[in-house]
Amino acid sequence: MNDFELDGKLKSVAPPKRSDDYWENFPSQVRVQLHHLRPAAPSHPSGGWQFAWASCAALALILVCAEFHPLQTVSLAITKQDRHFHMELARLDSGLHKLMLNTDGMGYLLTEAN
Amino acid sequence: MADADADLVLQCQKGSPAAFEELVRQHQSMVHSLTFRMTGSVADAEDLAQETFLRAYAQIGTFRGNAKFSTWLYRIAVNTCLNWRASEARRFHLQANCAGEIRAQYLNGENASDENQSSQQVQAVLMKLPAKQRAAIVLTVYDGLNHAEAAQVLGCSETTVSWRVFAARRKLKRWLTAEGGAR
Repeated sequence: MNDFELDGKLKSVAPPKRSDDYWENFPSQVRVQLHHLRPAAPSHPSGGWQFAWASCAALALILVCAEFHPLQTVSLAITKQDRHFHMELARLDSGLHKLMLNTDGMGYLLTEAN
Repeated sequence: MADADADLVLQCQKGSPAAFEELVRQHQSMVHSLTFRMTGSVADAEDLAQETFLRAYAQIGTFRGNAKFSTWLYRIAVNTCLNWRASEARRFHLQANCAGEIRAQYLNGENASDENQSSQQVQAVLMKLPAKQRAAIVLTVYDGLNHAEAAQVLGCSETTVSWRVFAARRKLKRWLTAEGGAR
């Protein structure tokens, strides 16, 4: 027996015939059963993409928050003030040093003070 | 997906049971044929056809139209049949009984026509096949799917389908030749 003959033999078997009433009633029988079920909500594009988008959005939000958070702003201001203060202090130190070495200047200062 | 099916599926996804009833009407014959060839029993085939459509309705939201609706429905029907009576041992026992019963009727000539007897003989040997090989034969021979389409329905590779069809054909030829000789 070759494949062609086998297929012919297999196809010679027809499924059992059912009455027209059966075919007419079957869909409504199924429909009656549907009341017990709820169809699943349509699915959206793949979960992988959703996850990637959510991750990117969360990361962007974190970066924005970190950049513009009030504490961050105050911290930057303090750092700036601190740097300025140290620069002024350094200038004052060096000025004082020069002033101490310059006797004329010291004299001037003492005169001014009096 | 055929346009008519696409519209009906869309309506189903929006919750229209009437649209689903129309889909059932259009595909009921195909599903009944498949479940009958998978089970060899008219009563079980009807139950499984109904279960197939109920599962399809419950999962209609997951259908995205990447494949034809009929292919998607085939897949549900085949899986429903493969899961039919979860206990493998029980299934094997029942199928063996069913096949034996049909073959005995055939050999005793209890049924009227030769055509009927031949049908029963073929159905009996079909039932002797392992379920997955039977599914491969049903899809490719009876429903005319190519191996790629059958692979999509069965959720396996095309090579696996080819192997199952090959193994099933070899067994069917041997059994049918033996039955023919015994007759």
